[in-house]
Amino acid sequence: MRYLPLTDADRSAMLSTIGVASIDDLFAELPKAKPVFDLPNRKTELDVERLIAGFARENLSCADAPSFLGAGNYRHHTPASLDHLIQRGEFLTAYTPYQPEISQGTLQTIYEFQTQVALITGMEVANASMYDGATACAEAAAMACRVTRRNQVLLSGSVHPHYRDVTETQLKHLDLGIECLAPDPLGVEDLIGRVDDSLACVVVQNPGFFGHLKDYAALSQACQAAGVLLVVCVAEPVSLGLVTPPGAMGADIVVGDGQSLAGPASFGGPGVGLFATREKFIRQMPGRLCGETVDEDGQRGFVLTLSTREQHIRREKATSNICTNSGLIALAFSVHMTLLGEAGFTKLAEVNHAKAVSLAERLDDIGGIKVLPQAFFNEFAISLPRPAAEVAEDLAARRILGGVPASRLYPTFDELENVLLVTATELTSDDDMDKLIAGLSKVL
Amino acid sequence: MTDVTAETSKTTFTGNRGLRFEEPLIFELDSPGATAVDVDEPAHGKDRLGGLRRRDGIGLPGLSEPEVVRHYTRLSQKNYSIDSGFYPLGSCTMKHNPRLNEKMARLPGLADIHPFQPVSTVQGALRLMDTLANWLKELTGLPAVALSPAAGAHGELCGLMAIRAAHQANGQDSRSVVLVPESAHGTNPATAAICGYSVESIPANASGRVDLDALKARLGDDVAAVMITNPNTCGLFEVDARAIADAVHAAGAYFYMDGANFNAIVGRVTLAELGVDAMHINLHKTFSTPHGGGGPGAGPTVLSEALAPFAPVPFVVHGAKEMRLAEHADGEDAPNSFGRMKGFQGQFGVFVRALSYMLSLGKDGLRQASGDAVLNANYLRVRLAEELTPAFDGICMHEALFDDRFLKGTGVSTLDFAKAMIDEGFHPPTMYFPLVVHGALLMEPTETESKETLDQFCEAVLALARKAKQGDQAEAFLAAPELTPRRRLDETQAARKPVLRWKPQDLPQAAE
Amino acid sequence: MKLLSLRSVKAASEVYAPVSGTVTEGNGALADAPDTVNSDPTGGGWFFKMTLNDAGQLDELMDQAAYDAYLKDLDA
Repeated sequence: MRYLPLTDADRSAMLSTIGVASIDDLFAELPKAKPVFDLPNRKTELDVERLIAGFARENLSCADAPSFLGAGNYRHHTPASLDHLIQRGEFLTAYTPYQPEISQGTLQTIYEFQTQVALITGMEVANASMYDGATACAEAAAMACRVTRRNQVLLSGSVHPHYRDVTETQLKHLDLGIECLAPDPLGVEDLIGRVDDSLACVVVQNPGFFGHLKDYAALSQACQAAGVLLVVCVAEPVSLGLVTPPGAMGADIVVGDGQSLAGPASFGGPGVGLFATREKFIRQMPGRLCGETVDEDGQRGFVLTLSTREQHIRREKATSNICTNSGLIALAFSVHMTLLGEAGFTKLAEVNHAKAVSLAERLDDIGGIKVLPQAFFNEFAISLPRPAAEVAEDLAARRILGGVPASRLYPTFDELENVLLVTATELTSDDDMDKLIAGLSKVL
Repeated sequence: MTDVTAETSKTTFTGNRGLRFEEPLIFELDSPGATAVDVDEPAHGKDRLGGLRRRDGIGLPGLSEPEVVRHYTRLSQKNYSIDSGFYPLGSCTMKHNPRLNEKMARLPGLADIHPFQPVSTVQGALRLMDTLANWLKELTGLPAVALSPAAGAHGELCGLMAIRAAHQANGQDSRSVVLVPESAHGTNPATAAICGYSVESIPANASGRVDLDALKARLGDDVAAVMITNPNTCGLFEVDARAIADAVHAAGAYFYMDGANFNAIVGRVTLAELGVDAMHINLHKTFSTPHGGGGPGAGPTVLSEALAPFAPVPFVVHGAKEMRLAEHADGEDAPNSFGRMKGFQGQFGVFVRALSYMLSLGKDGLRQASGDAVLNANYLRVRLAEELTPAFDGICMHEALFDDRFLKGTGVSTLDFAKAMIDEGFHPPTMYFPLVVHGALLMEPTETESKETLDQFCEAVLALARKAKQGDQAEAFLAAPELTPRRRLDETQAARKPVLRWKPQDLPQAAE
Repeated sequence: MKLLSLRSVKAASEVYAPVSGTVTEGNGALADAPDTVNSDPTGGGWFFKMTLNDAGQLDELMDQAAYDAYLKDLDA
């Protein structure tokens, strides 16, 4: 077997050193019954490639069709150097940096990542990553309850339904209350009127799930007056290159998913949860933190720090049970941010917005289609004259991935049946838009 | 032995030391306006940002592509990795990561698919998930698996949430306690706590296993579940596993097995035989998806018949014509699901890598892998016993546990000893864990190391032990490591005055 | 009852009230110099002052001599 270096001669020599006759003797404590597995035996590299390629062939890759899909997972162009750098074995095959003297590479990249996340969200500090945006949102709600010592959460209809579901699942197990407002395709929900001092936090998303961009400064003031934390989710971090960041609106905790900048859609995972907050809350934060310090010779270096929050030390009193996070995807996010720099990042965001505005104008011109948000970034909901799921299927049959039907995520809300989420990015060409418009004209 | 004194004391004008480079932060390499990504000029038109255009600059540094590539290449060289050396970090399973798996995960038909494409356009992805699920069910003998948990601790949470849902369905939600052995990973008690349970510890017996009598004495109608790692964190098989399961079931509780160490027994026993109700499988350990400096992982959780109805969404459902996804708890495909714990369809990119690895090894290769892993660990145990002190007598599983009795009176601590291994070119074992052993050193060689590597490691560690025992060596060990990019770091300062991000020099640092 | 938690770099532990009563003062100086707990545990490293509900509870606790003897016993 190509991954196993021991030869039969090695095995015999080692068994005699140990003083047992066979490898099976090392397992003498296991139940005697020998299980039989209905599975194939080993395969050559070539055979594995053929098998896996067979799965790949049965999918319609977004690379082979005009794609307008988003809803929390976005395709962007990734520079070739990004994938090269994250595949360096020293990053790819290292463990969590528990031995700082021989992990300065990973540690410094985490420190840079934390700084980048803090800068783009407009917050003071960020952690080393969570699993994804949805779990980060759940952690933020739980943290807000710890900070405020309150046990009720209000979640806006602007929040991605997966973020909502994961948060709801987590909070009910902590015996914390959560009220989830109905989906808000028109962006008319009143949150300020619902803020009172029984709440630990209000959770919103910007841009919202249906694309609406909103100014949450007034909500933040209302929250602050009532001692309520404002949690803002950002499902598309590219927006932060162009849009006022949550920190500038007064957010207390910002969470999001860095997938869109980190790499391929990959059917939705792995992503990377972003988590940023105010410095005064750091001891209540979940997840790893990297900090700057010095070594014995007085040289700057980095270590994992404030570990007494974490499960390996604090056990049942930890702020979270998270151990493995999303290190490599955080690195990919960070490398991409570094490649872009301020100039590239802001321009990329401009291009995304310009493409979306252009697409919105073209769609609005089609009879029976209405663009719902007035203000948006690179994604917006449209209402169609017939069920969006059927339209999406009909477009897919023409090899156009035309958008995400809201009903896919909200199957029980009949009023969303005709709503489709449409995204345009720097990858969206004029030709792609032409094909979508032409396709819609045929299937509507 | 080479004399390194001259090399270490030599100073250079740059601070670089030959191939070892000093590397600033990206923020210190800033050329304002520079970028490594050329983006087309945006079409000019009216914006639709509703007045929410960013007003202030962000503060991101600008670098060109060659500068970025060099920055990360130099940083990578400051890392120890499984590609570059022996990494016997106990409990973490640092085995070779085949690059075939990376290549497969990057096929456009797998990497470039969106979680909300019409399911008719992703039948291959669903079939791949279903194939992975079948492998995991077959290898464990349990009837169901939840693929979506993102890591081991997340899988633990999945198992406990399913257990709590089952108790609720049976009118047993008053059960509020989860029992965890004192040798457990910290994630076990932390997970139980965030699932709303209180945690009680069960002691180990003299042979390093769960004390069955103490466990039985504690079981009662307030106990919801027992979480046991098997093989346990001492590297030992829990010989009473079946008896534990029977006692737990008789008391009306469920048996959660922490599968962090499943790599030791894969292909040799089924969980059904051990009476397990739920177990997570770290794909990034047993099935060799790369650790990536801390993740991502995946923690699919197999479930018994009793827990299967409560599995979280999403999961793949076989339809009449095609496969579909159950994406909604309460929906017709998942009426009893406890909910959702992860966005989208789980760690799909990790699934591809793990399946590629499983197909490569096959059932015979997996059995050989667990055999070689256990053989390698026992070889270390026996060879190192010449100078070190194994914590327990007898055969171990995939990892060998030593305590610090061999250092008694030397003035050298477990930490110092581990740091000295770094100068010899090895990643240290897990230190001071499990807590049930004094000054623990937990070594997991894995099956992907050659006998030559193990021999080299043994000779170095034995030489270090003999050196420590000479006496009067405490200071030399305390000074280690000396040949690394950084020497021991001041963790106290880092915790006392946290500096968690770069800030421009001229701005005052915010208060701690 | 748990009164405070002590956190070092790699460990955290709880400090429980040895007797019942009312806390009247905390040692704020420890926030800036927590190492005083190690360097001067019976002097400047004090955690809190309290008034006792029942001074008789002190009789159940060890004094310095008894504690020294207890530690010696653990070593043996």
